Amino acid sequence: MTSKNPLLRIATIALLAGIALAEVFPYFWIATTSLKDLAGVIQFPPSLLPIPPHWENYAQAWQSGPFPRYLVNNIITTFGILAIQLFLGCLAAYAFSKLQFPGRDLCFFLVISCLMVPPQIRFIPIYIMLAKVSLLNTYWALILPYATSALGTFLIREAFNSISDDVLDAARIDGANVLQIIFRIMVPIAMPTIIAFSLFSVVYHWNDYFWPLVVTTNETVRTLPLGVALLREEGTGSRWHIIMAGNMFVVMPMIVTFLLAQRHIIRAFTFASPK
Amino acid sequence: MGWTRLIRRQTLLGYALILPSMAFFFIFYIYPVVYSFYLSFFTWDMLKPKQFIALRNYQELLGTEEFREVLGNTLTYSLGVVGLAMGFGLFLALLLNNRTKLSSLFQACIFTSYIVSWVAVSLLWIWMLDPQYGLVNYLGSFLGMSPVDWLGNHSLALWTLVGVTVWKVIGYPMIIFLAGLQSISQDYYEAASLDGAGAWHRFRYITWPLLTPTTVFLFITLTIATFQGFDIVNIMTQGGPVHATSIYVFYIYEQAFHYFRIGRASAAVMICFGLILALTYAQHRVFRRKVHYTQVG
Amino acid sequence: MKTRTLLRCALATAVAVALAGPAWAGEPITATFWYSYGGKVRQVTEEMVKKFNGSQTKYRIDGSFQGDYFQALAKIRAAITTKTAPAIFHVIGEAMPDLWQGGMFENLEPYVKSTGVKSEDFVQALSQHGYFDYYGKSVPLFAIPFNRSMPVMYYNKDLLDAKGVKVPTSWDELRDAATKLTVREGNEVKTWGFEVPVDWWFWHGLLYQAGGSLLSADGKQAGFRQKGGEALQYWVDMVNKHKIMKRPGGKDYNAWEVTNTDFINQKAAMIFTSTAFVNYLTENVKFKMGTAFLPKKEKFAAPTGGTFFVMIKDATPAQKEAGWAFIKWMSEPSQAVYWSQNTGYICTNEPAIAGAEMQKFYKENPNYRVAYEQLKYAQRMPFTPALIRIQREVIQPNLEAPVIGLKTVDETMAAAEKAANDILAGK
Repeated sequence: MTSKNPLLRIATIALLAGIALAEVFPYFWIATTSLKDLAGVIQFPPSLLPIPPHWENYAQAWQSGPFPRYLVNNIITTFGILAIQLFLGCLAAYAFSKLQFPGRDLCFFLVISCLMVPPQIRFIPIYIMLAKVSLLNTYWALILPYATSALGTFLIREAFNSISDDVLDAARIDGANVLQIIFRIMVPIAMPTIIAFSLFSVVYHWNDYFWPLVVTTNETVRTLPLGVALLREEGTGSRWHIIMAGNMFVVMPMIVTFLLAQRHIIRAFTFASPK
Repeated sequence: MGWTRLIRRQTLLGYALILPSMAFFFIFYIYPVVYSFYLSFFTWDMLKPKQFIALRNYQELLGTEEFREVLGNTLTYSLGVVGLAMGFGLFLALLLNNRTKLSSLFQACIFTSYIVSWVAVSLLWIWMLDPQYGLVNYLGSFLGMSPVDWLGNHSLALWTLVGVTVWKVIGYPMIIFLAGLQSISQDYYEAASLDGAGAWHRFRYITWPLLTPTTVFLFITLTIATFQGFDIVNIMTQGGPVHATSIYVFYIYEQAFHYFRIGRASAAVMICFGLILALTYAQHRVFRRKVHYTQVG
Repeated sequence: MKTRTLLRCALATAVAVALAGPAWAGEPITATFWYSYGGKVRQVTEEMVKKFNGSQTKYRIDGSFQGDYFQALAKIRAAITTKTAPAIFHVIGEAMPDLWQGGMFENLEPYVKSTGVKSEDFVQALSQHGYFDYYGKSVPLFAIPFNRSMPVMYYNKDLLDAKGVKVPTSWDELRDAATKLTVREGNEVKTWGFEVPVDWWFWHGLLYQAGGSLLSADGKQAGFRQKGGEALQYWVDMVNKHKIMKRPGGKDYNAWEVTNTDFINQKAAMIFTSTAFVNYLTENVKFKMGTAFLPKKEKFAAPTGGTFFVMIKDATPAQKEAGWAFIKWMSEPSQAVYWSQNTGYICTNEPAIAGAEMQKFYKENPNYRVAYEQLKYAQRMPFTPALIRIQREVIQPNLEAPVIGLKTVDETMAAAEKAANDILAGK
């Protein structure tokens, strides 16, 4: 909606700028707080810029735990989860969408009902299960419980539903096998949905705090959000500056990746527009 | 004869494809829920042996004011966030639906908070909303507002959390709506303007209907996400003041890990689970008629 | 020929060494220790674990930081169910009776006897037997004090002197002092006279200061309704009627953080909080700070807090041996002193306190001494499995409602008493 009226345009841009600022400013606040000292942090009225900047906060946060290891763990778990979710999700979505077999709808209904089971509910039985097979405090404990995504399966199925069967028939005639159909033909068409879901999954699991807290008992597989949350002291005044410095470690990889991939993400969405 | 072979092959193929997924769902979703169902008839603190108490957990829950408040809070929180996030998200998408550099910049800014972790955001906002030191009240004082206890006021706290949540997630519906908007062919709009349709007409009769798949997608994703809301409550208010911000998942967590009432927590799980299943089914029937898909291919 | 014999000897020796096992070869026996503090206390804990490991080669303790305290409690229960629990843990006093009854803890008396630890060396009020009222039951020793504390009153000496206010010693004096110290500018309060987290621990103190007690004399019924109500009403009035007390927002430890921050920022002239923060506050305040006993009503009284070391019964004998070695070492005078001086928790070793080093330390840092002196007014907790539920389910979540005006004190206390009696009756 572009209006020709210059006044309206200015007003619109001003409004958008205000909203964008409101969205970004708190993040900027995290950054500036991470450079203050305790006195600067609890000062009121709050000062805008840290002068002088206390870069040592980063060193302190970094040293409070094995952060490089946390980072690696985060990457392994987040992308491990995504890879399996997408692979299994596409397979299942194809079956639910394009194949007919007895019990199909019942199985799909079961999948949907899993949408309503958040991790806080599944924790105890799964913890006990993992402990019994000695998988606690391993990458498996972090990845397996999330290896399938009901949401992903549901969304990909919806996307596959909207692909006309003619395309599939043509492929079959050309001699394509199931896997080729799924991954060479259907996935590219359903790419916007897959990207949208991947976004959701990566952000969720990258920032996941609860599950790693529950299944890890020491630092070997601990993830980043945990490492940062552990910076919080119980009871004493918050060392906000250290906590925010730690937060930057969690936040920066995401932001950088997003900035780099932004154009690709948006471009992928426009794939669906009819030429 | 040809048919039966076809059906058998499809059945085999179908099950082969869904088997790994279903196995995981059974082990990691369905089994825990079934186990929870079993546990809901007991009293158990994970230490002493379980004690069978039949339906007493359910009676106690449905009889307490607190649990009913929790259900109400969850509904309020969810509908509040979904409504506001989708409304504003669509608004922003409409305004930013152009390929300018400025638009990209704004989009990036607005999307940032979505990808930042809840831990970071919650800690930040606790502080920004502090009645004495917070930036929000400080800025409010310039507008003549007296300091507000955003998180400590019993009637305000939940809506404050709604606000913070919308602030954080707004980038997501915005981007998804943008994608949806950009997938609508310009031909429709050209034809409409030729017919003399104004902006509102174009929106109501072209944009809105063609956005329904996107709208449904977002409604479902956001509703599910808000029903699972936990981190924000756990870090910002721990359910307070006096249960004002206690929502479903947090309540269950509290019962299980602060009070070690595993049985009662499991019963709460079952009740909410049942309600949500009913809601999902209702939602599914309503939306099935309203979705207009654009065929591709 | 010679080489073959040589080789055979070497092989035989190697086998002998391998068969002799780790003990001969000098492999330390390991045990895991789960702990849950953050910040400075965590640093000191980790230092001490390292020191212990470095000071001898027989045992090695693997400290594992678990973050949030209640998560750790949940994890340990699940761990016990699956036999993957650590050997050593630390636990709050209020949770101990329930966990002891659940069979979680190892009886420590044999260890005490066999390693010659003198139980009289522990500061009585801080030890398990000094912490609990057993109501005549016989309960063995299963917990050794670790980080133990008391609530104390911290005051901003500069602010008090400026207004000529004396340090209050009674409830009435506190109210008057807070009234004089509260500074208002229009609608806004620039300085609060008094602030305290609306928390079970402090309420417990006030309950006994008012002459009440948690349970009846035989420990079978709740007995706190009337005096507990007085305590709560005292707060409610200060917040809502006189408007001289700030109720810090946030639940559990968040409220404690706010209280400390307000005190440092001079937004609150007097606060109640744990002696555990004396280190933190001393380092960060930019004014003269003093500590004092909690004011009395009918008498001085205060609970003790913090955690005790416990050993998990399911651990292997070797792990328990290692665990005990660590606990014993931590309780020795030099460690107890180091711990206390660096964290602000009360030193648990009586002879060490009487010794020259601690006496000198107390002289130079009088604020650290107050908690120790207040120990003579320490109130015991009832040894009943219901205790933890009374704290976490009955009292703690319900103190807030009257303070923010949702319910009356009487309603709250009546409901609380009923709930407590239900729990005591085993429902």
